[in-house]
Amino acid sequence: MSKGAVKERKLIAVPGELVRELNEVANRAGVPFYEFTVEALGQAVRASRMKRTLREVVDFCELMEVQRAAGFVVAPKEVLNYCVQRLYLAEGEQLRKMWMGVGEWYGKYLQARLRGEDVVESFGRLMRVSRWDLDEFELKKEDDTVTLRCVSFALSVEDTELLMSFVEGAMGSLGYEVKERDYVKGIVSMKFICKKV
Amino acid sequence: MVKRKMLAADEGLAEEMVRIAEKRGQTLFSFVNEVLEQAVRAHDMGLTLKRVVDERGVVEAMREAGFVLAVKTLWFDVVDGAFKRGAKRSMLKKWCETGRWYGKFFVAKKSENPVEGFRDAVCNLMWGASEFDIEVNNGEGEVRCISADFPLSYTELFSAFLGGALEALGYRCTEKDVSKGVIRIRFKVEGEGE
Repeated sequence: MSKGAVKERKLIAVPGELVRELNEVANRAGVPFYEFTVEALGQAVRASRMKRTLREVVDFCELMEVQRAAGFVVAPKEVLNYCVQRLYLAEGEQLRKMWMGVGEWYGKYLQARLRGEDVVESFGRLMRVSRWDLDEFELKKEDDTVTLRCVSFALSVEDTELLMSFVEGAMGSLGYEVKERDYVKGIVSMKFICKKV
Repeated sequence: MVKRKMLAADEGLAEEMVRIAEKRGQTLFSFVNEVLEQAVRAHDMGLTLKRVVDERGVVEAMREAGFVLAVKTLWFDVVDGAFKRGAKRSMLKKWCETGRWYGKFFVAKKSENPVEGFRDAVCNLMWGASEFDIEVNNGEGEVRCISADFPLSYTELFSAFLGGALEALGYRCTEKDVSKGVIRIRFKVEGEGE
């Protein structure tokens, strides 16, 4: 090998405890330690080029796993809108019931899956991450009240109503009932109160 | 005090680490620490960091391409409902157009190997499909998709999407076999064997 082909290496300081943990992980993965760490650093560079931190990317992936396990799939927005609009005039009530039913199931799923976490807060986070057609989705908890503020420039009136049904169903499963609601195309404001036991 | 050990990295990579850490206002030590912690975290999730970053890129591309996440049961129900209420022809056309657009998107985005890019994206996103593959050899190829829970309506529409994408990727369908949950499309380079 010519001298020019030898790659210069530099030493980077890392916490000793982390090195021990990385060694174990690399062993379990059957990858040499050096290769494992260089791969990790290389992925951090890739994430940075995507203007993300690695933590954000792993967080995102974790949330996507929650959605994937809940039965979420990818759909072309235009086609989904077209189907909904085709059906909504004649079957709007039925669709809203369907969305609410699935929302109820989703709320129960989150409770079971995210044991020990603040499920309302997680619900908001999951909606923000996976409903990228929503510009804002904010759930604010105060005592026994939760307020929702949602804004989207992409939602039709039908989408807005279905989203409200879904949220109502999910919040119902999380122990909240609707106290107030107000909406126009793409803008939703809802207030929930804790159901009395 | 935290006990430190030294890690060897290629010079170029180490310099890149320094640059990113500086940009983020972090010390190299804390930045590398965070990166390696995330590698452990990804491993605990049963994933590699490469897979995690790949998936983020694919979802971002899908978002840009106009896709959204929908609950599968609702999605299949509305598709089936609209399909049965006389919208079959227009829906097939719409799906084909969407596929065509998507194929062009990959031609523009991943110009070196758009078919591979398209296949990887669909594989990553076909969360419900048990099998999806595209093989190309000497200008001819085959798409196979198997998913037990696809209703017939969705299978037909998805095959129209694939047909549109293949067309945009420069291929022509020569044989199509579609039944509930199963799609098999054979294709060849546009203009060949005519």
